Amino acid sequence: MSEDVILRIKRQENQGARARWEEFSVPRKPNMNVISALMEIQKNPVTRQGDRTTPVVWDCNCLEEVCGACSMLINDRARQACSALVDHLKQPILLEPMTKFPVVRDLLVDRSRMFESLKKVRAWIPIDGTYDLGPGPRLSSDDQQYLYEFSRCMTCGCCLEACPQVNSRSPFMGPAPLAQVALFNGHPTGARNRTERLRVLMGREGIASCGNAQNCVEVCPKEIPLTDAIADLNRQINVHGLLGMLRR
Amino acid sequence: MEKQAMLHFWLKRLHSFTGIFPLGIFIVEHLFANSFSLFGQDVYDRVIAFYMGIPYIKVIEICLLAVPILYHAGYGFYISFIGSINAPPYQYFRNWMYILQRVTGIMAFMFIIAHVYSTKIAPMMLGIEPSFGLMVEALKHPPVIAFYVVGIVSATFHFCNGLWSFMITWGITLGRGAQRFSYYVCTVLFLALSVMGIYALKGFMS
Repeated sequence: MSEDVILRIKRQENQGARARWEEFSVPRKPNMNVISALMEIQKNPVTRQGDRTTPVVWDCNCLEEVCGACSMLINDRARQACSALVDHLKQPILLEPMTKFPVVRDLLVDRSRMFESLKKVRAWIPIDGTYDLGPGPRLSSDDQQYLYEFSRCMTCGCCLEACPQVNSRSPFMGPAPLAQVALFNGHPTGARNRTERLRVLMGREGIASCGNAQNCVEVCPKEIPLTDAIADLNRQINVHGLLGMLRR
Repeated sequence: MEKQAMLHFWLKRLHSFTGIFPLGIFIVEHLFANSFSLFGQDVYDRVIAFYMGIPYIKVIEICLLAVPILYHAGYGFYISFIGSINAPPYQYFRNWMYILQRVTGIMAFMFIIAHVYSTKIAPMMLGIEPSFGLMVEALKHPPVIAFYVVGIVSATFHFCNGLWSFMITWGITLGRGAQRFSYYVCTVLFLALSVMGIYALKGFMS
Protein backbone atom coordinates (compact mmCIF):
# COMPACT_ATOMS: atom_id res chain seq x y z
CA MET A 1 0.00 0.00 0.00
CA SER A 2 2.95 2.30 0.66
CA GLU A 3 4.53 2.29 -2.81
CA ASP A 4 4.06 5.24 -5.15
CA VAL A 5 1.83 5.47 -8.18
CA ILE A 6 3.63 6.12 -11.47
CA LEU A 7 1.80 8.03 -14.20
CA ARG A 8 3.03 8.70 -17.74
CA ILE A 9 1.11 11.62 -19.16
CA LYS A 10 1.02 12.94 -22.72
CA ARG A 11 1.45 16.72 -22.53
CA GLN A 12 0.47 19.10 -25.32
CA GLU A 13 0.11 22.89 -25.25
CA ASN A 14 -2.62 22.93 -27.92
CA GLN A 15 -3.88 21.01 -30.95
CA GLY A 16 -1.01 22.04 -33.22
CA ALA A 17 1.80 21.78 -30.67
CA ARG A 18 4.24 18.89 -30.38
CA ALA A 19 3.28 16.34 -27.76
CA ARG A 20 5.74 15.13 -25.14
CA TRP A 21 5.57 12.51 -22.40
CA GLU A 22 6.16 13.31 -18.73
CA GLU A 23 6.38 10.85 -15.89
CA PHE A 24 5.10 11.57 -12.40
CA SER A 25 5.19 9.71 -9.12
CA VAL A 26 2.53 10.38 -6.47
CA PRO A 27 2.01 8.78 -3.05
CA ARG A 28 -0.63 6.04 -3.15
CA LYS A 29 -3.74 6.60 -1.06
CA PRO A 30 -6.59 4.22 -0.35
CA ASN A 31 -9.32 4.13 -3.05
CA MET A 32 -7.41 6.56 -5.21
CA ASN A 33 -8.78 7.25 -8.70
CA VAL A 34 -7.04 8.85 -11.68
CA ILE A 35 -8.57 12.25 -10.83
CA SER A 36 -7.16 12.23 -7.31
CA ALA A 37 -3.77 11.18 -8.70
CA LEU A 38 -3.96 14.16 -11.10
CA MET A 39 -4.85 16.40 -8.13
CA GLU A 40 -1.69 15.23 -6.35
CA ILE A 41 0.34 16.27 -9.42
CA GLN A 42 -1.45 19.62 -9.44
CA LYS A 43 -0.33 20.23 -5.84
CA ASN A 44 3.31 19.68 -6.75
CA PRO A 45 3.96 19.63 -10.51
CA VAL A 46 7.41 18.07 -10.45
CA THR A 47 8.27 15.18 -12.78
CA ARG A 48 9.76 11.93 -11.58
CA GLN A 49 13.15 13.15 -12.82
CA GLY A 50 12.80 16.15 -10.49
CA ASP A 51 12.10 18.78 -13.17
CA ARG A 52 9.58 21.49 -12.32
CA THR A 53 6.76 21.58 -14.93
CA THR A 54 3.33 23.09 -15.51
CA PRO A 55 0.35 21.45 -13.75
CA VAL A 56 -1.42 18.91 -15.95
CA VAL A 57 -4.69 20.21 -17.38
CA TRP A 58 -7.75 17.95 -17.40
CA ASP A 59 -11.51 18.27 -17.31
CA CYS A 60 -13.85 16.85 -14.69
CA ASN A 61 -17.09 17.68 -13.02
CA CYS A 62 -19.41 15.17 -11.38
CA LEU A 63 -16.84 12.58 -10.20
CA GLU A 64 -19.48 9.83 -10.34
CA GLU A 65 -19.48 8.85 -14.03
CA VAL A 66 -22.62 10.73 -15.03
CA CYS A 67 -21.28 13.89 -16.71
CA GLY A 68 -18.75 12.50 -19.20
CA ALA A 69 -16.33 15.41 -18.81
CA CYS A 70 -13.27 13.45 -17.64
CA SER A 71 -13.11 11.01 -20.61
CA MET A 72 -9.51 10.28 -21.60
CA LEU A 73 -7.34 7.41 -22.75
CA ILE A 74 -6.26 5.45 -19.69
CA ASN A 75 -3.80 2.67 -20.58
CA ASP A 76 -4.81 3.15 -24.25
CA ARG A 77 -8.57 2.86 -23.74
CA ALA A 78 -11.22 5.56 -23.58
CA ARG A 79 -12.97 5.80 -20.21
CA GLN A 80 -13.76 8.22 -17.41
CA ALA A 81 -10.88 9.16 -15.12
CA CYS A 82 -13.20 9.42 -12.10
CA SER A 83 -14.27 5.77 -12.23
CA ALA A 84 -10.76 4.51 -13.07
CA LEU A 85 -9.46 3.24 -9.73
CA VAL A 86 -5.70 3.29 -9.44
CA ASP A 87 -5.65 -0.08 -7.62
CA HIS A 88 -7.20 -1.72 -10.69
CA LEU A 89 -4.79 -0.20 -13.23
CA LYS A 90 -1.52 -1.52 -14.60
CA GLN A 91 1.42 0.75 -13.85
CA PRO A 92 2.80 3.00 -15.10
CA ILE A 93 -0.64 4.44 -15.79
CA LEU A 94 -0.66 5.95 -19.30
CA LEU A 95 -2.85 9.04 -19.66
CA GLU A 96 -3.54 10.56 -23.08
CA PRO A 97 -6.19 12.88 -24.47
CA MET A 98 -8.85 11.26 -26.69
CA THR A 99 -7.71 11.24 -30.31
CA LYS A 100 -10.99 11.96 -32.12
CA PHE A 101 -11.37 15.45 -30.68
CA PRO A 102 -9.15 18.54 -30.89
CA VAL A 103 -6.86 18.92 -27.87
CA VAL A 104 -7.36 22.11 -25.86
CA ARG A 105 -4.44 21.35 -23.58
CA ASP A 106 -2.91 18.15 -22.13
CA LEU A 107 -5.82 15.83 -21.31
CA LEU A 108 -8.54 18.40 -22.00
CA VAL A 109 -10.28 18.00 -25.36
CA ASP A 110 -13.03 19.93 -27.13
CA ARG A 111 -16.07 17.68 -27.59
CA SER A 112 -18.10 20.34 -29.44
CA ARG A 113 -18.51 18.12 -32.51
CA MET A 114 -20.84 15.90 -30.48
CA PHE A 115 -23.06 18.84 -29.56
CA GLU A 116 -23.00 20.01 -33.17
CA SER A 117 -24.19 16.52 -34.19
CA LEU A 118 -27.02 16.67 -31.66
CA LYS A 119 -28.12 19.94 -33.26
CA LYS A 120 -27.89 18.46 -36.74
CA VAL A 121 -30.07 15.46 -35.90
CA ARG A 122 -32.53 17.67 -33.98
CA ALA A 123 -32.17 15.74 -30.73
CA TRP A 124 -35.11 17.43 -29.05
CA ILE A 125 -38.90 17.55 -29.17
CA PRO A 126 -40.23 20.90 -30.44
CA ILE A 127 -43.31 21.70 -28.33
CA ASP A 128 -42.83 25.45 -27.88
CA GLY A 129 -45.69 27.45 -29.33
CA THR A 130 -48.11 30.28 -28.72
CA TYR A 131 -50.71 28.24 -26.86
CA ASP A 132 -50.89 25.35 -24.41
CA LEU A 133 -50.75 22.05 -26.28
CA GLY A 134 -52.13 20.12 -23.34
CA PRO A 135 -50.67 16.91 -21.94
CA GLY A 136 -48.74 14.70 -24.39
CA PRO A 137 -49.53 11.08 -25.17
CA ARG A 138 -48.55 8.44 -22.61
CA LEU A 139 -45.81 5.88 -23.13
CA SER A 140 -46.20 2.20 -22.34
CA SER A 141 -43.87 0.99 -19.66
CA ASP A 142 -42.04 -1.22 -22.20
CA ASP A 143 -41.34 1.82 -24.36
CA GLN A 144 -40.22 3.76 -21.29
CA GLN A 145 -37.73 1.02 -20.43
CA TYR A 146 -36.40 0.90 -24.01
CA LEU A 147 -36.03 4.66 -24.33
CA TYR A 148 -34.62 5.19 -20.84
CA GLU A 149 -31.45 3.36 -21.85
CA PHE A 150 -30.76 5.93 -24.57
CA SER A 151 -31.59 8.86 -22.31
CA ARG A 152 -28.61 8.01 -20.10
CA CYS A 153 -26.09 9.19 -22.74
CA MET A 154 -23.71 11.79 -21.25
CA THR A 155 -21.97 12.65 -24.59
CA CYS A 156 -18.68 11.52 -23.04
CA GLY A 157 -17.20 10.59 -26.44
CA CYS A 158 -15.97 7.06 -25.60
CA CYS A 159 -18.04 5.52 -28.43
CA LEU A 160 -16.60 7.92 -31.01
CA GLU A 161 -13.10 7.28 -29.69
CA ALA A 162 -13.47 3.48 -30.00
CA CYS A 163 -15.27 3.57 -33.37
CA PRO A 164 -12.93 2.64 -36.24
CA GLN A 165 -15.25 4.49 -38.65
CA VAL A 166 -14.81 7.84 -36.88
CA ASN A 167 -11.55 9.37 -38.11
CA SER A 168 -10.17 12.23 -40.16
CA ARG A 169 -10.85 10.45 -43.48
CA SER A 170 -14.49 9.74 -42.68
CA PRO A 171 -17.42 12.14 -42.33
CA PHE A 172 -19.21 9.86 -39.78
CA MET A 173 -20.81 11.67 -36.82
CA GLY A 174 -20.39 8.56 -34.64
CA PRO A 175 -22.74 6.35 -32.60
CA ALA A 176 -23.84 8.72 -29.80
CA PRO A 177 -26.09 11.06 -31.84
CA LEU A 178 -27.67 8.02 -33.54
CA ALA A 179 -28.86 6.72 -30.17
CA GLN A 180 -30.41 10.12 -29.51
CA VAL A 181 -32.37 9.87 -32.77
CA ALA A 182 -33.62 6.47 -31.57
CA LEU A 183 -34.64 8.14 -28.29
CA PHE A 184 -36.56 11.06 -29.82
CA ASN A 185 -38.04 9.03 -32.69
CA GLY A 186 -39.27 6.52 -30.13
CA HIS A 187 -41.18 9.16 -28.19
CA PRO A 188 -44.77 9.57 -29.45
CA THR A 189 -44.49 13.38 -29.66
CA GLY A 190 -40.93 13.27 -30.95
CA ALA A 191 -42.02 10.85 -33.69
CA ARG A 192 -43.78 13.77 -35.41
CA ASN A 193 -40.35 14.95 -36.55
CA ARG A 194 -39.12 11.44 -37.28
CA THR A 195 -38.61 11.92 -41.00
CA GLU A 196 -36.55 15.09 -40.48
CA ARG A 197 -34.15 13.22 -38.22
CA LEU A 198 -33.95 10.17 -40.49
CA ARG A 199 -33.14 12.41 -43.45
CA VAL A 200 -30.10 13.72 -41.58
CA LEU A 201 -29.04 10.15 -40.87
CA MET A 202 -29.32 9.38 -44.59
CA GLY A 203 -26.93 12.26 -45.22
CA ARG A 204 -23.16 12.37 -45.56
CA GLU A 205 -22.31 12.17 -41.86
CA GLY A 206 -25.02 9.65 -41.13
CA ILE A 207 -25.67 5.99 -40.53
CA ALA A 208 -24.21 4.69 -43.83
CA SER A 209 -20.71 5.00 -42.38
CA CYS A 210 -21.41 2.51 -39.58
CA GLY A 211 -19.16 -0.52 -40.13
CA ASN A 212 -20.75 -2.80 -37.50
CA ALA A 213 -17.52 -3.16 -35.53
CA GLN A 214 -19.72 -2.69 -32.44
CA ASN A 215 -16.93 -1.28 -30.30
CA CYS A 216 -19.30 1.51 -29.25
CA VAL A 217 -21.56 -0.78 -27.27
CA GLU A 218 -18.54 -2.48 -25.65
CA VAL A 219 -16.92 0.73 -24.40
CA CYS A 220 -20.04 2.72 -23.45
CA PRO A 221 -19.70 3.38 -19.70
CA LYS A 222 -23.49 3.79 -19.45
CA GLU A 223 -24.08 0.45 -21.20
CA ILE A 224 -26.36 2.09 -23.75
CA PRO A 225 -27.48 -0.44 -26.40
CA LEU A 226 -26.01 1.69 -29.23
CA THR A 227 -26.01 -1.16 -31.74
CA ASP A 228 -29.72 -1.83 -31.07
CA ALA A 229 -30.35 1.84 -31.83
CA ILE A 230 -28.38 1.68 -35.07
CA ALA A 231 -30.19 -1.46 -36.31
CA ASP A 232 -33.55 0.03 -35.28
CA LEU A 233 -32.75 3.23 -37.22
CA ASN A 234 -31.78 1.17 -40.26
CA ARG A 235 -35.24 -0.37 -40.12
CA GLN A 236 -36.91 3.03 -39.62
CA ILE A 237 -35.03 4.29 -42.68
CA ASN A 238 -36.35 1.32 -44.70
CA VAL A 239 -39.92 2.12 -43.72
CA HIS A 240 -39.93 5.93 -43.61
CA GLY A 241 -36.97 6.74 -45.85
CA LEU A 242 -36.89 4.16 -48.62
CA LEU A 243 -40.57 3.21 -48.77
CA GLY A 244 -41.37 6.88 -48.05
CA MET A 245 -39.76 7.73 -51.39
CA LEU A 246 -42.58 5.85 -53.10
CA ARG A 247 -45.03 8.46 -51.82
CA ARG A 248 -43.38 11.12 -53.91
CA MET B 1 -27.95 19.62 -52.50
CA GLU B 2 -29.79 17.19 -50.27
CA LYS B 3 -29.76 14.53 -52.97
CA GLN B 4 -26.00 14.85 -53.22
CA ALA B 5 -25.65 14.46 -49.46
CA MET B 6 -27.56 11.19 -49.66
CA LEU B 7 -25.24 9.74 -52.32
CA HIS B 8 -23.02 8.04 -49.72
CA PHE B 9 -26.09 6.44 -48.15
CA TRP B 10 -27.40 5.10 -51.46
CA LEU B 11 -24.00 3.82 -52.58
CA LYS B 12 -23.51 2.08 -49.22
CA ARG B 13 -26.91 0.41 -49.38
CA LEU B 14 -26.22 -0.64 -52.98
CA HIS B 15 -22.87 -2.03 -51.86
CA SER B 16 -24.60 -4.01 -49.12
CA PHE B 17 -27.31 -5.22 -51.50
CA THR B 18 -24.97 -6.33 -54.28
CA GLY B 19 -22.95 -8.31 -51.72
CA ILE B 20 -25.89 -10.69 -51.32
CA PHE B 21 -27.86 -10.19 -54.55
CA PRO B 22 -26.32 -11.38 -56.82
CA LEU B 23 -22.80 -11.97 -55.45
CA GLY B 24 -23.59 -14.03 -52.35
CA ILE B 25 -26.14 -16.10 -54.24
CA PHE B 26 -23.55 -16.65 -56.96
CA ILE B 27 -20.89 -17.90 -54.50
CA VAL B 28 -23.29 -20.54 -53.16
CA GLU B 29 -24.33 -21.55 -56.67
CA HIS B 30 -20.74 -21.56 -57.98
CA LEU B 31 -19.29 -23.72 -55.18
CA PHE B 32 -22.24 -26.08 -55.54
CA ALA B 33 -21.87 -26.37 -59.32
CA ASN B 34 -18.10 -26.93 -58.91
CA SER B 35 -18.91 -30.00 -56.85
CA PHE B 36 -19.85 -31.74 -60.11
CA SER B 37 -16.05 -32.18 -60.37
CA LEU B 38 -16.47 -35.07 -57.92
CA PHE B 39 -18.33 -37.02 -60.65
CA GLY B 40 -15.41 -36.82 -63.07
CA GLN B 41 -14.45 -35.12 -66.30
CA ASP B 42 -17.42 -36.08 -68.48
CA VAL B 43 -20.10 -34.90 -66.05
CA TYR B 44 -18.21 -31.70 -65.27
CA ASP B 45 -17.66 -30.74 -68.89
CA ARG B 46 -21.34 -31.40 -69.63
CA VAL B 47 -22.31 -29.08 -66.76
CA ILE B 48 -20.03 -26.36 -68.19
CA ALA B 49 -21.59 -26.87 -71.60
CA PHE B 50 -25.04 -26.47 -70.01
CA TYR B 51 -24.02 -23.23 -68.30
CA MET B 52 -22.46 -21.82 -71.44
CA GLY B 53 -25.67 -22.69 -73.29
CA ILE B 54 -27.94 -20.65 -70.96
CA PRO B 55 -29.79 -17.93 -72.90
CA TYR B 56 -28.35 -14.41 -72.46
CA ILE B 57 -25.27 -15.92 -70.74
CA LYS B 58 -23.01 -13.01 -71.80
CA VAL B 59 -25.54 -10.48 -70.52
CA ILE B 60 -25.82 -12.38 -67.23
CA GLU B 61 -22.03 -12.62 -66.91
CA ILE B 62 -21.55 -8.93 -67.45
CA CYS B 63 -24.63 -7.42 -65.73
CA LEU B 64 -25.07 -9.86 -62.84
CA LEU B 65 -21.44 -10.81 -62.19
CA ALA B 66 -18.75 -8.53 -63.61
CA VAL B 67 -20.40 -5.17 -62.92
CA PRO B 68 -21.64 -6.02 -59.39
CA ILE B 69 -18.23 -7.48 -58.42
CA LEU B 70 -16.37 -4.44 -59.72
CA TYR B 71 -18.81 -2.08 -57.99
CA HIS B 72 -18.80 -4.03 -54.72
CA ALA B 73 -14.99 -4.20 -54.75
CA GLY B 74 -14.52 -0.58 -55.77
CA TYR B 75 -16.82 0.80 -53.11
CA GLY B 76 -15.43 -1.78 -50.67
CA PHE B 77 -11.96 -0.32 -51.16
CA TYR B 78 -13.38 3.12 -50.39
CA ILE B 79 -15.05 1.76 -47.22
CA SER B 80 -11.75 0.19 -46.16
CA PHE B 81 -10.05 3.52 -46.79
CA ILE B 82 -12.43 5.50 -44.53
CA GLY B 83 -12.15 2.86 -41.80
CA SER B 84 -9.24 2.32 -39.42
CA ILE B 85 -7.72 -0.50 -37.41
CA ASN B 86 -7.84 -0.17 -33.63
CA ALA B 87 -7.92 -3.80 -32.48
CA PRO B 88 -5.27 -3.34 -30.00
CA PRO B 89 -6.37 -1.62 -27.76
CA TYR B 90 -10.03 -2.48 -28.46
CA GLN B 91 -9.77 -6.28 -28.66
CA TYR B 92 -13.39 -7.21 -29.03
CA PHE B 93 -14.61 -10.14 -31.11
CA ARG B 94 -16.70 -7.99 -33.45
CA ASN B 95 -13.83 -5.55 -33.92
CA TRP B 96 -11.62 -8.41 -35.14
CA MET B 97 -14.44 -9.50 -37.46
CA TYR B 98 -14.67 -5.91 -38.75
CA ILE B 99 -10.97 -6.02 -39.63
CA LEU B 100 -11.20 -9.56 -41.08
CA GLN B 101 -14.14 -8.48 -43.24
CA ARG B 102 -11.94 -5.88 -44.93
CA VAL B 103 -8.88 -8.14 -45.16
CA THR B 104 -10.83 -11.07 -46.64
CA GLY B 105 -12.60 -8.71 -49.04
CA ILE B 106 -9.29 -7.54 -50.46
CA MET B 107 -7.91 -11.12 -50.54
CA ALA B 108 -11.05 -12.50 -52.19
CA PHE B 109 -10.96 -9.76 -54.82
CA MET B 110 -7.34 -10.49 -55.71
CA PHE B 111 -8.20 -14.20 -55.90
CA ILE B 112 -11.24 -13.54 -58.11
CA ILE B 113 -9.20 -11.40 -60.52
CA ALA B 114 -6.55 -14.13 -60.89
CA HIS B 115 -9.18 -16.88 -61.03
CA VAL B 116 -11.33 -15.18 -63.66
CA TYR B 117 -8.27 -14.29 -65.70
CA SER B 118 -6.81 -17.81 -65.69
CA THR B 119 -10.03 -19.75 -66.17
CA LYS B 120 -12.06 -17.40 -68.31
CA ILE B 121 -10.26 -14.50 -69.94
CA ALA B 122 -6.96 -16.19 -70.85
CA PRO B 123 -8.61 -19.32 -72.36
CA MET B 124 -11.07 -17.08 -74.22
CA MET B 125 -8.20 -15.15 -75.80
CA LEU B 126 -6.62 -18.46 -76.82
CA GLY B 127 -9.97 -19.53 -78.23
CA ILE B 128 -10.53 -22.45 -75.85
CA GLU B 129 -13.40 -23.18 -73.48
CA PRO B 130 -12.81 -23.51 -69.72
CA SER B 131 -12.80 -27.21 -68.92
CA PHE B 132 -12.10 -29.95 -66.39
CA GLY B 133 -8.69 -30.53 -67.97
CA LEU B 134 -7.73 -26.89 -67.48
CA MET B 135 -8.40 -27.11 -63.73
CA VAL B 136 -6.54 -30.42 -63.45
CA GLU B 137 -3.49 -28.79 -65.06
CA ALA B 138 -3.64 -25.74 -62.78
CA LEU B 139 -4.14 -27.73 -59.58
CA LYS B 140 -1.04 -29.86 -60.22
CA HIS B 141 1.00 -27.11 -58.58
CA PRO B 142 0.86 -26.97 -54.75
CA PRO B 143 1.08 -23.12 -54.64
CA VAL B 144 -2.02 -22.96 -56.88
CA ILE B 145 -3.86 -25.34 -54.55
CA ALA B 146 -2.93 -23.16 -51.57
CA PHE B 147 -4.01 -20.05 -53.52
CA TYR B 148 -7.38 -21.63 -54.26
CA VAL B 149 -7.95 -22.77 -50.67
CA VAL B 150 -7.12 -19.31 -49.30
CA GLY B 151 -9.22 -17.67 -52.00
CA ILE B 152 -12.27 -19.88 -51.35
CA VAL B 153 -12.08 -19.44 -47.57
CA SER B 154 -11.66 -15.66 -47.94
CA ALA B 155 -14.66 -15.43 -50.24
CA THR B 156 -16.92 -17.61 -48.07
CA PHE B 157 -15.89 -15.77 -44.90
CA HIS B 158 -16.46 -12.39 -46.54
CA PHE B 159 -19.87 -13.52 -47.77
CA CYS B 160 -21.05 -15.08 -44.48
CA ASN B 161 -19.79 -12.29 -42.23
CA GLY B 162 -21.19 -9.84 -44.77
CA LEU B 163 -24.54 -11.59 -44.54
CA TRP B 164 -24.45 -11.02 -40.77
CA SER B 165 -23.91 -7.26 -41.21
CA PHE B 166 -26.34 -7.14 -44.16
CA MET B 167 -29.08 -8.17 -41.72
CA ILE B 168 -28.18 -5.19 -39.51
CA THR B 169 -27.77 -2.72 -42.38
CA TRP B 170 -31.25 -3.63 -43.62
CA GLY B 171 -32.78 -3.55 -40.15
CA ILE B 172 -33.62 -7.26 -39.95
CA THR B 173 -31.72 -8.34 -36.82
CA LEU B 174 -32.27 -5.57 -34.27
CA GLY B 175 -31.38 -6.85 -30.83
CA ARG B 176 -28.30 -8.51 -29.42
CA GLY B 177 -30.02 -11.87 -29.15
CA ALA B 178 -31.12 -11.81 -32.79
CA GLN B 179 -27.62 -10.75 -33.85
CA ARG B 180 -26.06 -13.55 -31.83
CA PHE B 181 -28.43 -16.06 -33.44
CA SER B 182 -27.68 -14.79 -36.95
CA TYR B 183 -23.97 -15.07 -36.10
CA TYR B 184 -24.41 -18.78 -35.34
CA VAL B 185 -26.33 -19.31 -38.59
CA CYS B 186 -23.68 -17.42 -40.59
CA THR B 187 -20.88 -19.42 -38.93
CA VAL B 188 -22.51 -22.73 -39.88
CA LEU B 189 -23.00 -21.41 -43.42
CA PHE B 190 -19.34 -20.34 -43.56
CA LEU B 191 -18.10 -23.77 -42.45
CA ALA B 192 -20.42 -25.62 -44.83
CA LEU B 193 -19.52 -23.45 -47.84
CA SER B 194 -15.78 -23.65 -47.11
CA VAL B 195 -15.87 -27.44 -46.86
CA MET B 196 -17.98 -27.69 -50.02
CA GLY B 197 -15.68 -25.34 -51.93
CA ILE B 198 -12.44 -27.04 -50.88
CA TYR B 199 -13.91 -30.51 -51.35
CA ALA B 200 -14.82 -29.62 -54.94
CA LEU B 201 -11.10 -29.03 -55.60
CA LYS B 202 -10.51 -32.68 -54.73
CA GLY B 203 -12.48 -33.72 -57.80
CA PHE B 204 -9.80 -32.13 -60.02
CA MET B 205 -6.95 -33.80 -58.17
CA SER B 206 -7.94 -37.46 -58.09
